Amino acid sequence: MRRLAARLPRRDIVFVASAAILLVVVAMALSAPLVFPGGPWEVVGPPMARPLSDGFLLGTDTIGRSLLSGIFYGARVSLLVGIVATALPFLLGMLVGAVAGYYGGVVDDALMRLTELFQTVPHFMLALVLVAILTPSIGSIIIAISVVSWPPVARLVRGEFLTLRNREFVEAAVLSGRGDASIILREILPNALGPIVVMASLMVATAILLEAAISFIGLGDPNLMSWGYMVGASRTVLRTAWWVSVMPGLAVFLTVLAINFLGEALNEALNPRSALGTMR
Amino acid sequence: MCAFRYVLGRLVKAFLIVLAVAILNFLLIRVAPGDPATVIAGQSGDADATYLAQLRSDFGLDEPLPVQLGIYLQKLAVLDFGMSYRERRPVADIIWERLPSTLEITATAFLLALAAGVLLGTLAAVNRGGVWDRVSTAVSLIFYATPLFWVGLLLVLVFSVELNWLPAFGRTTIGGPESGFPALLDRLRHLVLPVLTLTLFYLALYARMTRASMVETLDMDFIKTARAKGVGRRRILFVHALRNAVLPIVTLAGVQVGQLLSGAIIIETIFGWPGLGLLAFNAVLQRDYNTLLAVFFVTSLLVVVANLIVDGLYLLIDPRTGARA
Repeated sequence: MRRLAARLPRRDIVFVASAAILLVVVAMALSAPLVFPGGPWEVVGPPMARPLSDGFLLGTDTIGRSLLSGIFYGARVSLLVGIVATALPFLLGMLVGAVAGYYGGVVDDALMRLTELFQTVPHFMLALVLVAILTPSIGSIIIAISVVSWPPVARLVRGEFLTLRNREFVEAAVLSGRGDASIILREILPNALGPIVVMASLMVATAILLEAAISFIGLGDPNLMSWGYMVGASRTVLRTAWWVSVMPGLAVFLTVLAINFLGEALNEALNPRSALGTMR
Repeated sequence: MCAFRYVLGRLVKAFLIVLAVAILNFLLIRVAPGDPATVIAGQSGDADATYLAQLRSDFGLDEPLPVQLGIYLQKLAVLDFGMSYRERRPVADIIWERLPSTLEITATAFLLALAAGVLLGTLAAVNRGGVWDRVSTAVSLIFYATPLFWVGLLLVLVFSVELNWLPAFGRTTIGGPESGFPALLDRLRHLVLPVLTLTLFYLALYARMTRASMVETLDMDFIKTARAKGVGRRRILFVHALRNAVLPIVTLAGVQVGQLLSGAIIIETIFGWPGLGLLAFNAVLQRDYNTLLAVFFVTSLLVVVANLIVDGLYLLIDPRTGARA
């Protein structure tokens, strides 16, 4: 871990800026109820107040809610979805990939056909169908994003397992009579982790973008303020009050950009040779 | 012979995927809130009783599940998606009517993104560490991080609201020119912003992919051989290297067709473009699960067809394909 930290480009301005942006987003998410105790739905001023007017840093939305407050609370949803909707498909993909790559044969064939099915169908379309059918909530959004994003993990893990399975140290473990689960978890997985970790950082970014798009379409959790919802709800007043949709969109953009840059730095630190080759 | 087996294998695989999507659709109808008849009616709650009774017998909803699945698959096989209760006509008719609009923006954006992305990626790979490389990387990272809907709104803000150069809504001007060159110009002007939005995002993907693939190819021995033989720089780049580097790009293009169609939902929603995406958006708003699932099925079908085309291209580009399969 310390070696990894040493390899990160800590003097690089883009890296530092990205880390700073992400820290700000985390701070906003954590402090939202303290800074805006009235919550994101509270009407606090005239509708569509311009940024920097009447004490509103970013202005107000179509019915007079503070945009800054919405962005603070929206950070909670984006980060929650980014983390949970990465962890779940990550575990699922790892399980499928490990089982397929370790056992091979018919099991591998069946699981890979299933993976291909989920890679073929249009992701966003399937996510929308799932959220609509399960009724919109933060839970159904996380489930939908998880369902569409596990296949690349499964394929990557399977590939790593296929090459590692026949290595001597694994064969030694098999000969010593250890169980499959122990070999998968303690021998192969730690050796396959590098490329998988890099993929996770990209998945966080994708999950945040997907949640924003789902909420933009109008399928967000009706009880939670989300950046995508803010843009979607105000796009009809774009001509008269541009800031209402531009500001929350900017929040999504900066957050995702920061995560991508950090992921890139992580990639270069972990796999120096394959840098730039992972983004799909 | 080998090529024949390869093609046959791909066709069987494509068929199985379509079948799986159909079964997935069938299951999703059962998971949707309300009883399946109201889901198929596209109305949560207020469809009339005789219509629901008719649907129940049409779809065999009182039969056991496997029989229901059989009936459902038979209907899907002839692309019968049932009636749209709201529009009082078959869902399939609406989809056929909307499909050309969606293909128009997605195909245009796809070709533009591919051309520009490959060019940018190649320039970046050739001048590794140079200005083009940095421009390409920056453009890729920025557009890859931008929510599609936000790019669309920003473009509307600049080119439509501020500059008033381009229309931001619909496929044609209502009451505008109906025939001849002015009508064509009107169509093209409406096409610019939605296509540009979609292009910018996918350009980022292709540029990155091309760069990575070209960098790898340019390091290979056969390029050094060509150079040593005195083959011209441009010929090496565009004939020798690109032909080899293009394989992963073709694969990516096939995979991305689904994303492109997904992107169309956002784009059509923003620009009021009357295609499948807008149909899906309205179906979401009205909780019309039947139409939504029909659009899902048709877009999945399009992806499968696109992947078959990619498989065919592989056969043309890479002669080893048939032998390997």
